[in-house]
Amino acid sequence: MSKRTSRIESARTDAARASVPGANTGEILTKDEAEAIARKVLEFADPAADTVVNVQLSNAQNTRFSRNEITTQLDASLGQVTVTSMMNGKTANGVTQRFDDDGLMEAVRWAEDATKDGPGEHGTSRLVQPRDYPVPPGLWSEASRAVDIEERIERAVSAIERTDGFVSAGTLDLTVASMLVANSAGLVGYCRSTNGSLSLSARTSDNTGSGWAGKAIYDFDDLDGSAIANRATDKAERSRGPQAIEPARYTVILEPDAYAQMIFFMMQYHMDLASAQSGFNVWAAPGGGTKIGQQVFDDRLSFVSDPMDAAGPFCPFNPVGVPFNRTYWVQDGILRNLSYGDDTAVERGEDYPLANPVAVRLQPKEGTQLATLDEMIATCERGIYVTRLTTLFADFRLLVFTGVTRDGTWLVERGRITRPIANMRYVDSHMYFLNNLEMIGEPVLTAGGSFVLPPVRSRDFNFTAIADAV
Amino acid sequence: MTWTRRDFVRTGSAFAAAGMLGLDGRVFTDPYAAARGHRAFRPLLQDPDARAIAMTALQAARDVGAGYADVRVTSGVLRQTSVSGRQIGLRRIAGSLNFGVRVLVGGAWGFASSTIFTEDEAARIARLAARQASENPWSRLETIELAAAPVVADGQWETPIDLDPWNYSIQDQLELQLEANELVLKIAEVGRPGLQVFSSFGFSMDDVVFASSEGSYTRQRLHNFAGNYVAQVISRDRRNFGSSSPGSFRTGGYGWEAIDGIPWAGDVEQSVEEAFMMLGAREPDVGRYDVVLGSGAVSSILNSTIVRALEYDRMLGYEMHAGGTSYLGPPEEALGQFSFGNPMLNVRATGSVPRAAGMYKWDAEGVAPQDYQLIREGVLVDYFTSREFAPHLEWWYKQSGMPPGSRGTSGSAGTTVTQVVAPSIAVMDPGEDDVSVEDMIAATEDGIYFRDGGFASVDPPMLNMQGSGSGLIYEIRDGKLGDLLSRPQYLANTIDFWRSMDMVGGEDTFGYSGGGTIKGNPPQQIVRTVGAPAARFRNLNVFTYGRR
Repeated sequence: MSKRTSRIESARTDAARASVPGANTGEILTKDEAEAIARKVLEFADPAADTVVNVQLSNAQNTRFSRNEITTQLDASLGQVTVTSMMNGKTANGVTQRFDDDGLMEAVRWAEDATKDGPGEHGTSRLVQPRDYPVPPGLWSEASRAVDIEERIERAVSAIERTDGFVSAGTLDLTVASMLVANSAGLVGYCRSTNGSLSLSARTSDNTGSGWAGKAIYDFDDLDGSAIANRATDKAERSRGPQAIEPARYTVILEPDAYAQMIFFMMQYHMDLASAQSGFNVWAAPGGGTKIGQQVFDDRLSFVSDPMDAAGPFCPFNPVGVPFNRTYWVQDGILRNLSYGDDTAVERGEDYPLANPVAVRLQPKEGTQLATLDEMIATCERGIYVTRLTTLFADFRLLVFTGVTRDGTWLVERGRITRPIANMRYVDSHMYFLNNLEMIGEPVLTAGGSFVLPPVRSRDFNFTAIADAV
Repeated sequence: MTWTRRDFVRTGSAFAAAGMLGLDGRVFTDPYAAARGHRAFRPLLQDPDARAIAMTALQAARDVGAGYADVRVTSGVLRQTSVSGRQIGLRRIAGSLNFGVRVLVGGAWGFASSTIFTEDEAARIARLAARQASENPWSRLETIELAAAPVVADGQWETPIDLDPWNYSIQDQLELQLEANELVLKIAEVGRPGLQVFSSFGFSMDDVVFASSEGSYTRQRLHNFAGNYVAQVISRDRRNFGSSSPGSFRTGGYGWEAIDGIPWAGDVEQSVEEAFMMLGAREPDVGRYDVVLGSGAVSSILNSTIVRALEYDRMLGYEMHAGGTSYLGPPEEALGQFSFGNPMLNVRATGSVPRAAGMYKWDAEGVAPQDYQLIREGVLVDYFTSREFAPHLEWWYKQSGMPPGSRGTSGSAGTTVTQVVAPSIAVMDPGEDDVSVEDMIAATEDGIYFRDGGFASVDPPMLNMQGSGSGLIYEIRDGKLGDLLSRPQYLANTIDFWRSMDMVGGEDTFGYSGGGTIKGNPPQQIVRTVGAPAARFRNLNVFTYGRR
């Protein structure tokens, strides 16, 4: 035990003595509690209006550390009620953080007043009819709900202690949340979730090596702080003393977290049908219309959103109760679906819109030979292994990104990692590298949550410059 | 009668029962009433409510041995509307009512926040924050001591605006917005097919109370107008895209005057013209160019490469795993010594710019923002700090004869998240000579002129950048503007970039643009303002990523 660690031990004993009684983390709403609030809103609402109410209460917890010490922490109990009122051919929202009658009434009044007079031309949507939603397995964990400050700090400390001899910074987050949606047609849906993550980066003391690792969890018991720290410090150690290589097009081996942000940007900003039809997103076809039905990725790849996803479950409905069903946006490389609103649903004879959960799995086709990262390296003649990329839009409409590699980048030669290399800038996109695919691995939940992505090996990734700072 | 939190959420009406107040039906003691004439729409936070929450939390913190505590309470309202063409997309009014408590126990921070507005909850939240601190095993190793700051016992301030937006309804807002969109739609109808218009307007008013265990108590009513107004067009083959916003469309510390009478109406035609002009832009030839940046582009690059690098906590490594670190450190080696090698580079912080987005009278620690120098003649002389970090720099302030203490640059994205170091308003000084953009262009043989905004992708220590522009970008040939260019990118090392600046525009080229920072966990986006003149940068490496 290092001197520092023993000092921590004795400080901990002091801390236990100083512990504050009666200061527990907050609770979320049960279905009955949330429904009671929603029922009040529906009672306050004008019977002539179609009304939807969404009640949320979450407890966000965070322990943050830098320079191998816990620096700031947070416990936030955040409640919010959103009232959607549809009347006179208009739709409006009133939002409040208050759960008392006056607060709820105020939110109802805001929404309804906004639908009463004034200009129109804002279509209303049909209410989602009463239905049962499935309960995604694994989305809720009692172990996570029960986590208290002491346990949270213990887990962070277990990671920080493993970074002795390195400079580390990171964050442990856990959010316990409840959401209920109800409407004046009698719909009631309730969902509760526990989402957490621990991520950290570690630097060697000479500041030439940096490594990052992170993991998202639903069940707090799955969060192994020391394993995450070990991965980060191992990468830091192995990336020490990097040397620059000529920027050019290289084969890349990308860890899933390296390109998760690109997938987020696609799902967040580019999945709307109307926008594709009018030419504003990446799925607009050059001559008009959309690319639906066209091959857009390697035919081994599908993008599928499913609240029941075993690795990445999510709440099975959107804030107004539109169900999220298993949806293939891209199937075997072909663009199949883009999200649409109720107007289009009516035209198509559907009961409700196709909503986008901004959570997706990149699934290899059944029968595809899956490779581990080690196998991708072992069979690579010459390439670059990338842990992590920064990601910023270079072109929003074409979904092209730029950024730099960070926290561990290596040269792979004749089947093995030969040396760490200096960070490089890239200009590229998954729109390209998922069409230059050489190998694909088993999809895993990425550290930011929401995205279940495989490691990939792709040709001709476009490195444009050296960015040799650590 | 005591109410537990559980009772509260069960009954939903504990406000009245527990002696906490509903907002309706009470005499509103509006501290600004005299200045405002009359109130409309709704009373915001009633001071007795906020004071009760704050004092309860401070007392609870003291009871569990906190050496310091502060409470921030927000009661706010936001009215947002968006219209695409003639189609209304959003009518939304959102209220907020929440508070956050920060405590120092045993020399470590704790922070907790809640939207449940009762005294019991205030006490629970304070205790929770204290428990975080007391269970932090590092709390007794290197304790935090705050820099002294003046106590402001009864501070009141309101963002100065001309017309109270809350005297107008959401319908009034939509009427104006539709009228504004119609200006573009009319042009579209007379032979400009493919032209679209999108607008989004949001007025916010936040009453923010700050109370500290040292006796400070301030109330600020912060007004802001955020939004956009964009004309956009796609070429028939969908290859090219143009979008433009009138230069006179303003956001920031404005009231209804931001949209009253559509102040940008006279610029709409020009703006549409520019969107179409962008369709004809060509990609640049790869090579080295002198680059002239307009004020908006300089502001944006300044924000990405210098302003955020001056955040003391980032420099310390607080964002190492996330947004990154900073090349402007460590302080003992950098202060007074690190130089961009360019005496024309002078950057200062200021607390007071009329209409600036994110302006405040007291920061998130109750400290007034100072006017002070950050970079003097290219040399680093100070950082954005807070009461926590200012003592780290005491040696330097003493050595260089600068006043000690926080510079008043602590901020947060609301009161439900903890304070972080956040830039105030950063300003790069214009040159003393009356150099115009035209002068810079005339002096440039082979260059590129980025007239409007810009953005930069920087690496985690902010040392390697790729800059680009939005809006109109021209080539410069022999001192004259040439073709419009599409997607030129310039690559540079941050220090080399600022060193290469050889012409700085005068006062007439100076302007303010949006800035700010993203940091923390949970991530906080803090909106601020950056000001800069136009400037020229020599011999930058320009390329384009083109298409495949």
